[in-house]
Amino acid sequence: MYRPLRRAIISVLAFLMLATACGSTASDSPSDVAADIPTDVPAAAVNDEIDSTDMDMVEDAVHDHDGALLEVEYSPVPTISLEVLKDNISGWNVHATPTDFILAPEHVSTDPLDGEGHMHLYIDGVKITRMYSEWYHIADMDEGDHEIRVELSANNHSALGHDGVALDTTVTITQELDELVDMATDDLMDSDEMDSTDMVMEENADHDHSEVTDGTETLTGDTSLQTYHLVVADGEVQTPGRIEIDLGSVVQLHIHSDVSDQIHVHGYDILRPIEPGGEVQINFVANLPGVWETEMEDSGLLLIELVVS
Amino acid sequence: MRSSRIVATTVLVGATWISMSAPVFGHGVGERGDLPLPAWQMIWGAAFAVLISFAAVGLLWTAPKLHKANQGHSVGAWTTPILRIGEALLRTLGVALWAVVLTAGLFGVDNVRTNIAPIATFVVFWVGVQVLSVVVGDIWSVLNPFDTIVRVVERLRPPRAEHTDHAVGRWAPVSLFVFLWLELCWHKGSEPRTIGVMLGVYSVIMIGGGLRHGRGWLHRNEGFAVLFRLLASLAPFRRDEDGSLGFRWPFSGISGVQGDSWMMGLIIVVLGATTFDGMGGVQFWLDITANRSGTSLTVVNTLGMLMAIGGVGLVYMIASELVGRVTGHNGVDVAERYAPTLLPIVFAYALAHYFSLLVFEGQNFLIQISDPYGRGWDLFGTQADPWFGSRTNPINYLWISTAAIAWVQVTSIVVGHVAGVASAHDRAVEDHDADLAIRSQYPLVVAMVAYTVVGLVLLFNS
Repeated sequence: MYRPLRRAIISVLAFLMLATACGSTASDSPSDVAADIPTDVPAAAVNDEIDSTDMDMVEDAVHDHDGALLEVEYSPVPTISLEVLKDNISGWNVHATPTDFILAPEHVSTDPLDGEGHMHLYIDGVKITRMYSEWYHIADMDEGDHEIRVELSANNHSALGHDGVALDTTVTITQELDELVDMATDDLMDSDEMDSTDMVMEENADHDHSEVTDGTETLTGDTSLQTYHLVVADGEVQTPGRIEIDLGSVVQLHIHSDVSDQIHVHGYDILRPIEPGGEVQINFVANLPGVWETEMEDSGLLLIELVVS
Repeated sequence: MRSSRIVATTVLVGATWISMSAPVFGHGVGERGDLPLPAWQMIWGAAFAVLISFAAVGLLWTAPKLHKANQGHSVGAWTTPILRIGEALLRTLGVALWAVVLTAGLFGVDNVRTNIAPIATFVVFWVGVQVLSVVVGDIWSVLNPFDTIVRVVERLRPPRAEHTDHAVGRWAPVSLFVFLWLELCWHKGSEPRTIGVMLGVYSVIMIGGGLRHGRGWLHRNEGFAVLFRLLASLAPFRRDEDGSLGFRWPFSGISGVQGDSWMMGLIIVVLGATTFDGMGGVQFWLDITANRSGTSLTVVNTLGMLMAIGGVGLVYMIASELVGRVTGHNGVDVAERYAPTLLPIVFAYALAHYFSLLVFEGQNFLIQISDPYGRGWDLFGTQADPWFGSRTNPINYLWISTAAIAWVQVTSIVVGHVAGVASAHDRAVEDHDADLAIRSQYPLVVAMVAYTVVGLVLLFNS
């Protein structure tokens, strides 16, 4: 190849790449980012992004989400009813009763079959667990109202719907402050009392509920609750680090922030927006072993590393 | 010519830096970190490595053996046409994947998780090809898209003179250093646009250099080609001169590798960078990087990586100098001569650190291959129906247990260590009589023990 020709080719390539690099600013516009979301995050995470107090929005998001609902084309169409009962010792007992629907954990993660599947439990829009039986125990939560939602799911984990309406049901419970007295965490839950320069960690790994083994997918047989508070002040976490979490326990992260960002729990694919001065509570069952980062998605600030084992 | 290339590179890198504004991951690709290695596994692994090393120096063979093991056997001339067909397919595949990753990086959706470029580059290419090289041999020599492109052009016009010098060129360690810096240091290194532009720049340099100086230049200066070819010397398979398949004892191929200065530089860069990556999970480093992001994180990471490479290199140079004092040779010559014996440790480090990344994020690659640009396609059906996971949990993180991962880590480090010590011993008895060989070996064995123990301690503290 002759020198001028080669130089010309390199110049063209260089120009193309330069143009692309500059062009990328245009594709970073908010509308594009928003349009990307459905392909970026699975259905459960889309729920997470919706303000949990506005259930209509949650419903819409679920219905709009392409492929989130698997239309029931058989009859009778299954239904579901739900009650959430305060436990006498601690936490809540979720009782979901499907009719015309067989709970078939033996077929989970296979092809959908008519009239069978399992259920998914959500707290405040966060997917907590699969339910393979009618009863499940959840730990005490922050003071205030919480939405408990259970949906019917096909064996392949697609949420079931009929005529475009999800086959699910929601119950709102109110967690009273005095119910929390037996939790070691309660006195630190008031954000005013919290030292804003510190991340306060507490752990009640001894909160075992041996009665909660009733057919749930809890891996250890016992459900323990591990609660942690993280404070972001001036865009910084003062004592980031790692927390040890027992495999199978329920984790509650309470995150306070004075900046606007999104909180991303890696691996569990939980993405929640946070506003300045706001608090976000994230609940999940720690069922994936490994070291997982929780970070501020936009700034890339590492909040905490979760060591699940 | 050269100055125009440098100007183009500088402009491109600068333009990329300025134009990036999308949300980023503050770290490389991959979401999951490995659990710390259990203490008992670390201690037993280290104790075994130390014990066997010093026993080996005294007890192993007193005349070189690996050359003979390296001769191996040819499977037969009938394998030649089969390998030719395989080569044609792999060359096509290599160019196709290169084109997909390059265009996805430049034009695909600007998202680390849904664009194929980051995981294709840092997991499937960087880790996957290392593993493949050690298992099946020098597969990159035919996958290499630059080599294929230059080869095709040379078919159309007469090639320039081939270089007869087989020493590694200086661009090889430089290109690997830049690549590892992108992966481990630059806070925007794993973004699709970064990868697209950098791969474009690298492609221009490599194809341009290959066309100007011939495929021999590419062979010596394309950093990945050099590293993967060196790692392939550990493989039990090789391609003989008549193009047929041959096999030999694993690791024995090291005996056929002549060390030189840029090869030594390349090995130390890779070993140091992997060590630095292991440091990333250790508390003291977490304290240093805490609350840093953006450029400040990049600066700290760069210093950390330079220190890790410097530390690894310093230990090796001191050991070589001490060996040279015993044998009466120049320490630098000794260092170059024995550099290839570090290759098993290079691979052991890589496997220990990146095995789980390959296993888990590799699943993601199989999903992304159906939609490389993040446009919502599903070419092969793996988006709707992932091979290992489910639609809602695409990566099956339970596919391989944490205990199995820990065993792979500790086994690879110990086996790599033993292979390194043994091949250094073989080289020593080749150069000297048994007595002098044994006396001269201790400094190098101590250096290797240091690498191994540091590697295990990093895994324990990760």
